[in-house]
Amino acid sequence: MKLPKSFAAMDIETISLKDFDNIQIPIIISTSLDGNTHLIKIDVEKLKLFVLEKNIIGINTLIEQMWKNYLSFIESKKIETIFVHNLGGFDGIFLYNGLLKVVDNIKNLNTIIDNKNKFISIYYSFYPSKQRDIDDKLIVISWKDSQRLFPVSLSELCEVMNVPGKTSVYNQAFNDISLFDNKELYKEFLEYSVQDSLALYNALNNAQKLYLEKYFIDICDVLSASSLSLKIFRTHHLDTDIPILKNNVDSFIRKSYFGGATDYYKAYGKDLYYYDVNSLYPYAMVKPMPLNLIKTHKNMEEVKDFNSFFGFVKCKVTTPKNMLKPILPFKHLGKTIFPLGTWTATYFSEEIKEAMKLGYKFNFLEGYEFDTYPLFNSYVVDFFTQKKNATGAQRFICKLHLNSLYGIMGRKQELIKTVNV
Amino acid sequence: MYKYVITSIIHSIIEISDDIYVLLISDNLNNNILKKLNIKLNSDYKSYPCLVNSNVAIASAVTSYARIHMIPFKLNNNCYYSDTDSVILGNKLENKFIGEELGLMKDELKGGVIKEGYFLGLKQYGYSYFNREKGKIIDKSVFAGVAKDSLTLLQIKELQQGGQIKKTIPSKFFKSFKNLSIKIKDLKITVTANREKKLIDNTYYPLIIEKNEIKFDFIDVLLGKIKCQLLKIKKIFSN
Repeated sequence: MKLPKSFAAMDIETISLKDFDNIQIPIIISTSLDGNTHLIKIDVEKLKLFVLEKNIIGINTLIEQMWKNYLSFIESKKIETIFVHNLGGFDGIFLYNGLLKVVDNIKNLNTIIDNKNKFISIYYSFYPSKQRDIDDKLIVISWKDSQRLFPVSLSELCEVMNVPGKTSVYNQAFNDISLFDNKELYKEFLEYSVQDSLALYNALNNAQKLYLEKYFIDICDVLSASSLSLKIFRTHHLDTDIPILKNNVDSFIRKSYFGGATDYYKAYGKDLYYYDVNSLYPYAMVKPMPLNLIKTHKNMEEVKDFNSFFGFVKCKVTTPKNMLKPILPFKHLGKTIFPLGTWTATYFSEEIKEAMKLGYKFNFLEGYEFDTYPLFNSYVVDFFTQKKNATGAQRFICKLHLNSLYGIMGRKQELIKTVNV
Repeated sequence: MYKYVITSIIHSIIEISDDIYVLLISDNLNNNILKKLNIKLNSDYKSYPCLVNSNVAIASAVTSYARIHMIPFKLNNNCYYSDTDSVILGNKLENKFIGEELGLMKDELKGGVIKEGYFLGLKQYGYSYFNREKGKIIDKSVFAGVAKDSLTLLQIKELQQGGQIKKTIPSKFFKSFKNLSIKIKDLKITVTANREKKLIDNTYYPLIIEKNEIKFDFIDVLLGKIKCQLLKIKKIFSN
């Protein structure tokens, strides 16, 4: 068995400064590794003074000093992976801002950002000694978002991973400078900051063991639940090559990529029933999947029998006139709606066949024909069967991987990165 | 910075301090788009594409099969509302559709029946039902923009009749990627229903599309971005 990579868990505590338009500033950085927690704190006495004086430059110097202390602590630990729960939505903003001001060379600080401007990962590379030796190895520290890996709250994660979670709860009074004047409250706050990173460390430690034992995968090597799913799928289930589509094919088919159907039909009702499908997407994944592009039809007249065509078609659609619940999606002002009328769009052949049964008329313009393959059957059946009898962490893992694989197939080619100048 | 200005498409520029700037730039851009852009602007934007492991044909087929599976539930059984994997129906489903297996339905309310439900638009609805475990009637609501179940059925009813509801969301995070900062403030919002479909006698009628909308062109978006960032760079250099 592979040895687990060592990692740390980190959490930043902040307070709000009322006199500076409620800006949040970091005051404690908590790091847990090997079961120990280390707190790096801002200089509280000076902070109180600077806030009183409304000295923002002074406050910023204190924050910078805290980040300096943090960085030298982290560099000394030679840890390569640091997990932060909600790096993307919260901690990453403080971390990146802080690191930018204290690293030796900003060129060595890089990030990956998603299309909502959330941090996926922040990484910093450096040589351990300032006078570089020939055999000095470049060290790369990556801060990763554990919430991207396990998209649940920290308490839920602790519960499913069967580790003690936080015993103290977040107190709204923590979020103010007056915190430091109340001894009891400050003690409670310090306790809380230790628990946050320690609970995360313990939960991830269990998760790491579980994934190594069962799937031979180290959670330190992935960035998200879907990339973890993809890794499990590739290592244990994939028995063929999945082609990567060429740019023009990708952009043709992407037009047929709609999300789930949401629609409303009646305004008010009494005595109604509410049903939901067990694992709808996993159910969809065991249907025949398009695999290899076998033919491009610039002229769809050469397709004699549409029933035997499998793939994606650009077509002119005319819906039935008086239908109350149309079934073909259409993108309208950024929303997916189900309208009536006539338009040109691209759809998956199987959805077209269903629409034909309901009286939709089609004029086919261009098509990309695929062969089919039972790509996900063993993956889905395996996790679904396990899930039925599983509890706790195992059940959580099954649910996670049943739902997070298909989405990665729809990733766009374009990415966003940062450069510091 | 000049090096990046002429070779990369910059999404935004963040000023960290007097001498540090962070540029958010597009990576792995489609070569065809770049070619078109370079011809149009006589520019020299570069991309060194690496392939992302993805296959949109598979993703599209999966979501399409999922919609297909929901069709009969939408069309039959007097459907009031449908979401990705759920439906609210006027009739009880036959037993053959219910079960533990993949793709079968389960009763979301565990035997409970919705006493009253109001459906106002996409992700805008509310209902009340008798919860057996708790032994009382419970209001449920989904309304885009506010927390789940935070509106009562009475409020949903008000919204349906064209009313407005003012709400304060306490301690909301306001993130600024531009300043790399976060503020926490209370947020005051006004909730109103905004349905697009026509309502006649309790029934919503679908929208009608006469012709396609003007196509949204990715290149125009990029052009807008480039122009905006060039102006900003000009400002930085002239300071």
